[in-house]
Amino acid sequence: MLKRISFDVLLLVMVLYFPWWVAALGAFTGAFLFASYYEIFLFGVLFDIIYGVPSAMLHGLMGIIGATIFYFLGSLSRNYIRPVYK
Amino acid sequence: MSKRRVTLFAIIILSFFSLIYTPVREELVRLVSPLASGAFYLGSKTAGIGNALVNNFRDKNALVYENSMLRAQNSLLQAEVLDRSVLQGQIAQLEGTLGRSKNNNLVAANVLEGFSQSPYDTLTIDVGTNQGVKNGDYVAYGGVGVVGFIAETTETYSKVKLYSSPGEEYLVLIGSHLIPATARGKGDGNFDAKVPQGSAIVVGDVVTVPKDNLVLGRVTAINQKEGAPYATVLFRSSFNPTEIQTVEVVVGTH
Repeated sequence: MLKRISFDVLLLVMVLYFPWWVAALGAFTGAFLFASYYEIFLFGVLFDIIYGVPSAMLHGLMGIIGATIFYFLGSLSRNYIRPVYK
Repeated sequence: MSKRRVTLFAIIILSFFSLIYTPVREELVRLVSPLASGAFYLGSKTAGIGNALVNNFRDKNALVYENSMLRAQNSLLQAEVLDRSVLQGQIAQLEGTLGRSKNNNLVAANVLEGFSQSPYDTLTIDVGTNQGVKNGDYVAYGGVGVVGFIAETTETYSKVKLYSSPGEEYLVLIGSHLIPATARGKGDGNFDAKVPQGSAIVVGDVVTVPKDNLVLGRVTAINQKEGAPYATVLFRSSFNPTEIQTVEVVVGTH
């Protein structure tokens, strides 16, 4: 549990202070390492709220779309490559 | 369908809804903006302290050389600004005579997070409706070059959408003959525009936005094929968007 919370704090720092692709890598890593990593959707929404505008590309939904894709990719990768990390 | 799947789809649908449904999105932006502003301010202070610490270990000679280069560059820029200020004064006088005085209600703003932070080609600045900023207001750099416009604003911070955002299109005037064209953003401060073949445009011509004659960039290349009805003009901002630290919002231009 502590590992998961620590990783969430780290991902929050990535979203706020690092380029977007670092946050994307961090999100995918979280989805890969942790089962049912629902926090990724919260970070996706946060990313779009902070940086996005409705008139931008993909109507400012890149964060949540990316979060959804990374969640499923991470989950699939985890199931095929390694045991679940709870 | 298992409970876990139902929970997952409910979270996904709720997340999309919160971003697509405007009233909910606006409320979330209003709630998050003070926290985000505080976090960005803390980040910039921490980065400043980090830079100061790192500079202690830099080679002294390299610092002396860099200092002399920056002083020389500063002198040159001061001369250019002086020349431009004289021209601006003359233009303002002429416009006043013709009854076309500009609205120069500029609000200075610091850039909290630059456009490299996100894939949206936006800047986050530390002024909002409390300073009279409204959606659609132009955002200028150096008081002359236009960067973009206010796309979203709260009481204390705003998001600036850069004109060079991919897919965006704007009416511009090119060169001394003010040839109208539709410019398309290509990202990272780059634009292109189609003009009739043989138009009186040369590399280096200034490209302006019709309202208030704000400078958008300079022509860097002209691509034309023999026999084609149009030529493609490539131009870019006169400054590097990644280095913008402060901007001015031209209030009342929305």
